[in-house]
Amino acid sequence: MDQHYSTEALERRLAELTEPLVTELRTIESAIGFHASELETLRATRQRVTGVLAKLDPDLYGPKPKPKKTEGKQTVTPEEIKNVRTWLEENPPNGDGIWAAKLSENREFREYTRIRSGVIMQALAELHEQSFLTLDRMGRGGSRIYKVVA
Amino acid sequence: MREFRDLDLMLKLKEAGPIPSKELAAECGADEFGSHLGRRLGWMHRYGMVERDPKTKLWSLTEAGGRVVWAKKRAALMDELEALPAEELIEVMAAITARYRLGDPMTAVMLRREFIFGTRR
Repeated sequence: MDQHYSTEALERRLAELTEPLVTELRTIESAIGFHASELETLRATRQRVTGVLAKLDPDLYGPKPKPKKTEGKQTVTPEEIKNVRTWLEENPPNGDGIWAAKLSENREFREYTRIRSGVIMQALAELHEQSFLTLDRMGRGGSRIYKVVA
Repeated sequence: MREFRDLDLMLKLKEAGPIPSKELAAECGADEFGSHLGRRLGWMHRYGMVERDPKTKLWSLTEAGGRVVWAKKRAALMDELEALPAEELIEVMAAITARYRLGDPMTAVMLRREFIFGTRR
């Protein structure tokens, strides 16, 4: 059976269809507004708490060191790290500890590991992160002196 | 002081035995670390890694801290971990995070701090 609607009836029907959607949209927008304000409050609180933590425990929560320029910088290879580790296992250092400049001057070490002198410090830092080495002390001029973890 | 991991300081305490913070700062290579080290030890104390005798004012490892320091790494396990493809490390991480949630609070804190230390570079 064919149904014929007048223009008025069609407009009314359309209005009936859109009304609940418009209401839903308003509810959503109101909820977004509410959560946006809540988010703003949370962000402000986070900033305040982070600031306090940075003062109380700067080692962990202080400003992150600016990333150093890596362009053109040499990067240590996993092979070099492995070689340094093996050499240190086979040639346990004496009580003085291990530091990059000392290893760099050691001909046997250089020949065995075939490491580029510019990345020895990086290799030691990696082995420190792997817990193979422990940072024992800071030397004069800020050099890091490590020991093999027993 | 930020170059030192918690574990580094704990190993020093294990080696040195009960020690005043000033001496520990000197052991770390510079007296000027003093105030930083004091704050750091304060946090580590709060997390249960180290303790300070109120009478002698000497710092030492707690029993739980001692267990962490004495835990020997199993070489075979470390080799296995190294050999794992990166994708499989995700499952290892899931196991670690489960321990983080369910394990003892001090170990959980150490895991969190190790993660922060290792990922801040």
